[in-house]
Amino acid sequence: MNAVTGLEEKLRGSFRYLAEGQPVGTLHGALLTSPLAHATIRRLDVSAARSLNGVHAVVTAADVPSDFVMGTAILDRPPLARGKVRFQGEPMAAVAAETQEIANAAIALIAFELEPLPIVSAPGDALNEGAAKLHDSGNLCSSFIYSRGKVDADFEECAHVIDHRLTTPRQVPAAMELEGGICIPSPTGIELRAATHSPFYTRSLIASMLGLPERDVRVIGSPIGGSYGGKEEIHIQPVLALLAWTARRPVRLILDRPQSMAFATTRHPFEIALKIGCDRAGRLLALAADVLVDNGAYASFGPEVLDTGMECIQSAYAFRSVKLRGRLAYTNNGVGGAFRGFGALQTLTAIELAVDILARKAGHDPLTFRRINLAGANDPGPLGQAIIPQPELPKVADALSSLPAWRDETPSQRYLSGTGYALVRKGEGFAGGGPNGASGVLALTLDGQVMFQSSLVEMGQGLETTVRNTLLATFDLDEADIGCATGSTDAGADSGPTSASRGTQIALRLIRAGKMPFLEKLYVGAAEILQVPMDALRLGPGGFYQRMAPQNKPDLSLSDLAASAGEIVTQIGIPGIETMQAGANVHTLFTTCAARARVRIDRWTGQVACTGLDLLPACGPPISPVAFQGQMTGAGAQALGFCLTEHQPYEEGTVMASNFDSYFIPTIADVPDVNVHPVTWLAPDDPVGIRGGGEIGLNAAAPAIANAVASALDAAPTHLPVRPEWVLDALARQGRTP
Amino acid sequence: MNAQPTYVRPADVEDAISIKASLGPAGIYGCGLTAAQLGWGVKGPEQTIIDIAGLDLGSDVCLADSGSMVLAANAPLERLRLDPLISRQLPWFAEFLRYVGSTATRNQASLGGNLLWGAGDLEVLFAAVDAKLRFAGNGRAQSLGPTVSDQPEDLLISIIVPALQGQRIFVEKLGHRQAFSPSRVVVAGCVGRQSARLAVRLAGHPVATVETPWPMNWPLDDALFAGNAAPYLKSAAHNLLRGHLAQLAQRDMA
Ligand SMILES: Cc1cc2nc3c(=O)[nH]c(=O)nc-3n(C[C@H](O)[C@H](O)[C@H](O)COP(=O)(O)OP(=O)(O)OC[C@H]3O[C@@H](n4cnc5c(N)ncnc54)[C@H](O)[C@@H]3O)c2cc1C
Repeated sequence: MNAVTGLEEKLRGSFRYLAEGQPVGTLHGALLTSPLAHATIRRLDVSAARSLNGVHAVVTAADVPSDFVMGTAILDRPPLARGKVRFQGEPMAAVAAETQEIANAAIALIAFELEPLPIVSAPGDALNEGAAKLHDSGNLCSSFIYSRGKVDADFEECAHVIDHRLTTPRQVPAAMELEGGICIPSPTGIELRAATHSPFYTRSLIASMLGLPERDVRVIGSPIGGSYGGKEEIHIQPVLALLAWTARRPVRLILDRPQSMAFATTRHPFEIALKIGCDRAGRLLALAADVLVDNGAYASFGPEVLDTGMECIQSAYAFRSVKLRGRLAYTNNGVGGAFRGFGALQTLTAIELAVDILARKAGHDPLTFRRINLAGANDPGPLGQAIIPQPELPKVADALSSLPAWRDETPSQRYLSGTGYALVRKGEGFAGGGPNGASGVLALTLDGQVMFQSSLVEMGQGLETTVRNTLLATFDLDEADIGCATGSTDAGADSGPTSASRGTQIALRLIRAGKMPFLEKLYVGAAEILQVPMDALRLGPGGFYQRMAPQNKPDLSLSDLAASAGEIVTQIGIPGIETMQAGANVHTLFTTCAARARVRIDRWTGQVACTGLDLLPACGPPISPVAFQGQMTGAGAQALGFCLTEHQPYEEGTVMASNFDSYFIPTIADVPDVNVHPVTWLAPDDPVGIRGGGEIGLNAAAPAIANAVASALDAAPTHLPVRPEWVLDALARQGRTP
Repeated sequence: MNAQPTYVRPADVEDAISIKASLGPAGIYGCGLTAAQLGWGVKGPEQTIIDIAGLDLGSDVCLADSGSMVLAANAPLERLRLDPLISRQLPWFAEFLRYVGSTATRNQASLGGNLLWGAGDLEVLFAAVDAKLRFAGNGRAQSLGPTVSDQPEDLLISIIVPALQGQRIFVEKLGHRQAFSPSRVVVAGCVGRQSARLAVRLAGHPVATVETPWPMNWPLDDALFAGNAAPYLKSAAHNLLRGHLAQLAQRDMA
């Protein structure tokens, strides 16, 4: 089976997001958001809004328990601004009313007074003494320090040393589905239908805010109409739940695009300064890195993003010594958060650019240079931690070197072309401390289906297709015999977040772990009903067959088994693969990918087009090749946006692009065919199995594109996205303009 | 939620003109409304829309005896792009239309709306080929230029593209990505045996046009590159024009 679940509905336009299909009588929600980026709330008077006919609830921070704040490592964000607003677009109040028009009118009736505070618009300024403080704790949200070996002495020993600086864009998730949902209250609890990567986490948060037992909160978080990390963060769910709980009526609340552009968490812009050096033979000796990150107004996943970025800054290479410093600063520029690539994208792009510059300086071709500097299969991880061995690294490097040459481009006076490479690795799943373990359920349902239940969510990545393919292969059953329930708290089995590329890996490990105990229960039940020994039976399409008397239909169908034996359920639990290391958040499992990109540069206009992209992900054999190709193609497109077209600028805390007519995601015309060459080999003793493909393609594609630009221009980009202005200047400096 | 605009649907051209006369500034002509709605904001339009999309302004495309082409002002761009007569007579126009909006936008967007909006890409191309706009009422035919979009009172009926025997046309748009992008620069040229007519628009500036002898006297006239535009836009426009003209000159030499 190869078909992608939901494909037909999506093609026909009948696929429904969770915020659609509300029950009759559902109220309409609307938000009052802050027009200012930094201000004290002097007055917020909702009395006129409350008394408007047709309004059922108006909520503000006063309706939220005063100790309720959100975040992961750092809890600092109220669902509705409390006393202060810290970014433009921050919700201050919300309304639920009979119609959208009434809700909007009520919002307009809310009287408020904001006293402007100085705006912190750059992370460097934020950390200056005397900068206005966003939070009482100061503007340094989090920091990272790590060193190994004698960096200064190793730089002395280097035959070649280079410095490179890179600033990266604030990329917007730009998912088709906007943040929103429907919340349906009952006398004792609520049902929340809103996209989330982690239904159980959302449940515990909402239950604690409303003071409800967790069992009275049902969360349906899947399917998701695109997230890329944007819906990993708690978004509008608490406000929605608060409205429905207050109004005691179902409420639908959904942001519009301009609201989303200001409110949704974005990719953190990084300012990265690198110095690396190698000896005469081209062996990397030392790396010094200083990274400053614009976190925006609330911590969200910022500390984890910084840690992951810093952990990946050595890419897949073995440096003898490193000295790393990273700082995450609060600013009034929206809110940075989880985003596919998760900090690694930024630092990997920088280090891969630096590696190419150094290779060229040292007189090596970039592929050989990478090959000789690869980390050893059994080396410790980048921060000295124990990791799952990576014998695949040289195989990926070999595959990259063996790619067939590009077809020659017609020589042209107008265009220059360049080829770039990258070879990267990134931690999969969460760092030590998790949540890394997971639970799931294999069940024979009363209607005779083998059902895998988990709280992992489907967000277009093909999780359900992969699960179904795996069930078919694992149990030798027919399409009609299997089922998959994902994305809610219903199963009672918390599989942890569908993030950090772990969803597929976790689902497969759960099925693998549950297979034998579940089969045993089925065989025991069948043997008892058929009055034969278990080893006389075989499970196949439709049910159980007697081995000695093969028939073309089962001797005991799955539905007859269920009818006699009742529901057969196996609860599954798998432990996290994790290493705990004092003072650092470290990963244990790393996924590798290489990439080759070709760009074409227009000497007349400075425009850069990506004309070819090869990705070589080492994730093991793809279970659903179509979904895997989709992940990789999407990763290529997002990498292209990161390198060439996308940036959400802020000026003095003001969002400059509030829609897609001024924020430019690549269209199909920009994206070349993405050729995926999976490196399917897994070590025979590999303890994990296939790796997730959610992020790694992106992390390799972006540096390859950036390196292709550098090779075409003989100048490495210092700023992404690459601006055509910069390209023309670079050409002019080299006397290469037309 | 956007407020719903108020529409009136005139029966014919005379009706449209008299509705406009009675509404005065409280009414505007609207065709695809793809450009007009960009300025409405959440409040919706302040004026009544006089919907001219369904008016009979003649066939979309007509080849006159003189060899000129007459295009209906309310013809949707996508229909023009696919029109066989356009493909034969004005292939550069059909090709360039691929870079104007998207298919969905072009299904609504009209040629007249593009030329009168004030920032339409086609204005540059049509200025280069010296197309004439024919308005209702006084029958005046006017060249494209800065004054055209200052006259929202008049109903544009058709656009006349003169016969262009032997002229070479080039046009190029520089956006923020390969397709479906607002333009940063549009350049176009219509090069005859002895003269060339060039037109340029840099984002946020009006179209500038010059007539120049051919083969050309370099450098290009500075007037083409709006004085206060960003240096990058000027350089890119300059390079594009120079590049296209140099290619034509090379072909002439060969
Ligand atoms: C998503 C999107 C993408 C776009 N991309 C592009 C692009 O790439 N390039 C580009 O050039 N444009 C683009 N546009 C703008 C617009 O679509 C085009 O310029 C289009 O051709 C305008 O035609 P219309 O019929 O929609 O004009 P309308 O919006 O109906 O009218 C525009 C103006 O012209 C006046 N008007 C229209 N017809 C007449 C007439 N016959 N007589 C008198 N006055 C008239 C109206 O009063 C109004 O002032 C885009 C718009 C959108 C929404």
